[in-house]
Amino acid sequence: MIRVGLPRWARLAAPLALAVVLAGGCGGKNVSNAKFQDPNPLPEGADVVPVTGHHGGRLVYATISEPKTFNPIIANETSSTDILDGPVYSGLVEFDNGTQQLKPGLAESWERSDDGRVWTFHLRKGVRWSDGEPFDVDDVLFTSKVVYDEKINAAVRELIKSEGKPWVWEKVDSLTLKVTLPAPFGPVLEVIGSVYIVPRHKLEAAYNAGRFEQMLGITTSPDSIVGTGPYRVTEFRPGESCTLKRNPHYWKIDQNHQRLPYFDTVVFVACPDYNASYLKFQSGDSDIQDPVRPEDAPSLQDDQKKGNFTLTNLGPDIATNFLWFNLNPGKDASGKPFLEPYKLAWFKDVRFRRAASHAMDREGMIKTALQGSGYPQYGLITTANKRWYDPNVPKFEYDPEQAKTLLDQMGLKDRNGDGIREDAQGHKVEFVLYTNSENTIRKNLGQVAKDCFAKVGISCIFQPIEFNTLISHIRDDHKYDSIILGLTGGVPPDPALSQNVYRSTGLTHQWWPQQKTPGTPAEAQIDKLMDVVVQEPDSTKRKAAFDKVQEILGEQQFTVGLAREPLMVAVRNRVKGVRPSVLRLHVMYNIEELYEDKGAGQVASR
Amino acid sequence: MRTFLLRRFLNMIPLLFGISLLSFGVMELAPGDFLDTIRANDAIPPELVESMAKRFALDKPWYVRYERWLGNVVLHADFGESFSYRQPVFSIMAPRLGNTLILALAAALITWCLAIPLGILAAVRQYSWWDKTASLIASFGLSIPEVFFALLLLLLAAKTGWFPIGGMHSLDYDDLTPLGKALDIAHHLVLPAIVLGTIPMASRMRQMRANLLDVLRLEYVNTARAKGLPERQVIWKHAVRNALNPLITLFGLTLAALLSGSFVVEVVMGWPGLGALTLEALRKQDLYLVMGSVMLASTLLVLGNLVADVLLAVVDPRIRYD
Repeated sequence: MIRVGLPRWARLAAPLALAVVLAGGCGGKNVSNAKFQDPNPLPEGADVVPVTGHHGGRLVYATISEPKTFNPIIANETSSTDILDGPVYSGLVEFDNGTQQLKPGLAESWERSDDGRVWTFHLRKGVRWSDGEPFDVDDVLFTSKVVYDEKINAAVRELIKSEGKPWVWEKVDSLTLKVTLPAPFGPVLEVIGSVYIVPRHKLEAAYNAGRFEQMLGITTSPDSIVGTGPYRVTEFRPGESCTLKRNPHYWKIDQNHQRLPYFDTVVFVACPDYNASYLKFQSGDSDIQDPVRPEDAPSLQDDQKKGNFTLTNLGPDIATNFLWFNLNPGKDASGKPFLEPYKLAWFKDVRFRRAASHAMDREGMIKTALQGSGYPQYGLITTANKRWYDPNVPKFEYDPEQAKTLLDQMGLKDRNGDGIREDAQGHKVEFVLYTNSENTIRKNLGQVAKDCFAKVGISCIFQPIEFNTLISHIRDDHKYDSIILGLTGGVPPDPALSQNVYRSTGLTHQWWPQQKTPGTPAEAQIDKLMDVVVQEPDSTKRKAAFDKVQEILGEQQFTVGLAREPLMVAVRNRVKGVRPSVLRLHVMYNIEELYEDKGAGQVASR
Repeated sequence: MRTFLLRRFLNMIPLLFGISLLSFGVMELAPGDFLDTIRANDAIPPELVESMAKRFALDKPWYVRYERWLGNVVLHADFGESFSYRQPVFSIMAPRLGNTLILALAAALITWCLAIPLGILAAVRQYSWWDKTASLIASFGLSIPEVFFALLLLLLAAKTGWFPIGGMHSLDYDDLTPLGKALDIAHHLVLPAIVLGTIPMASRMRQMRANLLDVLRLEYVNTARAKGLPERQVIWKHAVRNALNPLITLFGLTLAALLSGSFVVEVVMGWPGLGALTLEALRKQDLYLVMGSVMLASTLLVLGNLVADVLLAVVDPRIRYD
């Protein structure tokens, strides 16, 4: 598929001028710059990263959509955060997606008081913003002030609070920061790491004028976008591409004390159509295909040699697909229950939910819905989550006989010989299953689930519906029987950051959201354990508590796990330093360590 | 003519008002709102969703939002701020609008420059091999779905390397000479313009053929021929001019469709136009961005109709507006 030499005649009457400019331009760029000249002195507190590589080259990455803003404080969709969080802006602490461990960022070290309430951070000496201005504690304090401002909808605002109260951020000296928590909190470092520091010297005036949210919009001139990340934005073409060039003041250096990053230029190309981005990758216009659709894996597998790239299977995704039954006993404004009481009675019985899990033929789902490759899922946390996965979660594996026994025990029996069970009052055991129609894989999973239910004498009516309608059923009217949906989870994948799923009061506690008091003893116990997960500073105790949460959830089968496709990425062989991770951004998260190996195959990009 | 134009412009006001009310209503009738995706994200706390709802007035009933929006439009010519970009909608639409116009004009050029001569040729040489080939092309053009055609051409580009795969600029665009820049854009323009131009070309060609055939059967054409006028003059001076009338109305409508006709092609071929932007906004229910785009397209539709009427009067002496 790779075309290196284009037929000249094909270039649509392109005059010699164009060809000369192209050849001249490319030639100049591709000449290996063996001697890397660093115009700026290295910062005293530079972070030495144990990698080596070569400087120069261009990396092209195709994404679905363009960034919506260059303001990391208000950015809340991946199309923006993929570019901003990490490549352009840094935090005090960094999370390595590969090892799933925290590591020092703009702060080179920190201490915690014994009660876990007072944290002292020591910032790196000599760090500069990409425009050359010095970075210090005042930038951090300014950022925290902006984030806590109620008028600004900062994505991390509620995360850096304890029991609803903001933390106190104080300057000790120009490189020392003291953060005092009003109440103990577990994942302090994880959360501090997701606060990306913005330059006070650039934004304070606008903030004081009440214009912070409008700052750094996509129409901003790239010169005013200033960060401490490895790259800076140099050009933005609406709807098309966002070009980053290396930040000459970056504070990480490699083993040989050469400043990172290696690639001169990184281009994020917006490619809304998957097929087009796939073609772009195959023809060498982009260097990374992330993710690869399961159905494309076989053909990419065969093209690896010809196309000079490597297809990597990263194993089970951290994201999940699961089914749950509506357990909400509430009534609507007219006093009508959300769910027929007899259905609620079945769903509330743990034997019914376990029977549902026993009924699910997960291998069959993988064969038919996932093109033959995938992983069965049971709990909400998958093996991909290295730190938090609990192997002892009970699994109610595929066993239709066991499912039938459990249903029989509940008194759900086929009383009229039509193949479908009825309860003691004669209600047919039948319910409606929704999923969002935009997701093909979930639609296929639903089809298989329906057949699986039929095999144990349950009639399941499967209806894919539009995403927004589905969400309004879950959140607003609560009128549904059961739903298949997924959870993606953030980075870092710390359960305290998705406590809304586990707590009975949570908005994303799908099966019965926003409970006033815990509806079942199991949920009451989970709430207590989640207090430990959120507040306990000791990480072993947090892990133990969350293991227990996972085990209770497993016992109760509030969510019935289904199956998920493997996560696959394809990367051009000339790109080195890749340590792909199941966590987003799978290949690009260590962008500063990636480099071009000119020996590995021709440079395919035009 | 002047009173006619004035009347038409005054008519536009209630019309556009009606369109805005209707499209706002449809947007609001659609289940859910912009914050749904954020609500479904378990990492975003509900307090934040609430404060965003307040910020965007999504916690208020729809007529409050409409009233505010309309008020700002009428009083300050302010079309609101996009939820996802947090910028005034026109500042986001402006660069996209230019790109869409480039694509649409290129496509219109292909459509009209091919459809009229080919249609005339097919009519004059009715049932010849050329007529049959043209009708074959027409049925192809009328039946092929845009998405499929676009993907087919992208595949061609990928296999041959003759054309870039989507986009509008190459990555080295900035290093090119001004002439090189223009050629680079033209190179990127070819495939999307072909997709967008060929499909309407097919139907316009058939219309041109049918109209001309109708006219050629009329008695004044016989008269002209009987007078001994050369055939070329009969066709071009007498028949074609009259056969063009219905197409001029269609041309006005083409102007109107300039902004809205390219949604699919823009998305599939990665052309950074208004269509791709609007489609994403619509999916995300970015209310004011959609409204801005709808209002722009409707204004163009109304103006396009007006242009068609005026053109008709210019071409056809029987039509006079008082």
